[in-house]
Amino acid sequence: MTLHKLLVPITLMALLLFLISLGWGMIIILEKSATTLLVSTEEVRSLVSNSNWSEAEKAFQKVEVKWSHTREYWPLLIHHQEIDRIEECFGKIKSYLAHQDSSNTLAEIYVLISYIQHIPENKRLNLQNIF
Amino acid sequence: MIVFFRTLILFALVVIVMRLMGKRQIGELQPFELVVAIMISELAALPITDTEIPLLDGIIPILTLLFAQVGLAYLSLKSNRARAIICGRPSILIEKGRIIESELRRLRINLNDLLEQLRVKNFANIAEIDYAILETNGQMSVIPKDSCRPLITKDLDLNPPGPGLPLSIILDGKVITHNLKIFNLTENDLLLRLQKQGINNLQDVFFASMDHTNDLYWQKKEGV
Repeated sequence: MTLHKLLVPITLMALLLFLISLGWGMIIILEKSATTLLVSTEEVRSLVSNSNWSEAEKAFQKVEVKWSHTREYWPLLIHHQEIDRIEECFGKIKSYLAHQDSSNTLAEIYVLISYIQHIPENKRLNLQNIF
Repeated sequence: MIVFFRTLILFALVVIVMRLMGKRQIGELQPFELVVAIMISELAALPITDTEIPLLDGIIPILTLLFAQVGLAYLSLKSNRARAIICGRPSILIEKGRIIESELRRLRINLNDLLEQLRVKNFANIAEIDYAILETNGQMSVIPKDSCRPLITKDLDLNPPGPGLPLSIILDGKVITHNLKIFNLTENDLLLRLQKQGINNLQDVFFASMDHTNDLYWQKKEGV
């Protein structure tokens, strides 16, 4: 009888917990995957800055592999346009790397970094994002 | 194809959510319930039409609204003060036959609106009304003066038997067994009664109901 009376508040609390943990989980997953991508992309950037093209290409291939894993679940969490923008960036960087065009490669890597950084920032719970 | 599946998923979710919100959600709405209904329809429509939006961006807000709606409804059920804040209080527009002008002004209801609402309630003459109350769900309740209210059996010192609740026992040829049990009847008993009236198969009956006096009303299927 008591349990029956408490059914609504218990269910509501469970729903609230589910929603909070879902939201929180989304932020954590995005932060982790974005950090992994950013660290590897930074590595590519420093190699390109030092004109170490062969190593840069290898490092970029590793970033691409990481991205292909991330790309599997990011569409569930973020607007698909953001993923398209990152994909476009990857295409450009690959081409610039092949032509060893340092200024364009660096410019595009910075764009990629800002896109990746933007994603968890956009989902973070703060006043700017709420309003 | 994506839109097809997204539509099905969100439709199922909205139906479940509306069911969980209760029957009131589709009937007479409190202000906060109306807001929730409008928001849910909009939230479900966005990810259906724009496939670039992740489905979760539609599902999470809908579940959040379910939480808020059920939470507020529960709170207003448990506390009078919360009910007054969330749903408001009923407003008396006519009290003891006198129109309360200040209340009409406060609610921005003009006399034409009031008279229209009264006519909808079958009161063409305002002089017949003792009380008119605007309920929190926007419906108007009207209490007529004693001299104008309809005659009831109590006025005539009559004590007729209650009408009871007639229950459906056959719907489109299918016997509703749980209703039949209420009358302590089996399908055989029912068939025997119907056989006396020329029906040999229960499946030939389109509709049958029984009242508390065990009176049977039935209608045969067309073309049988």
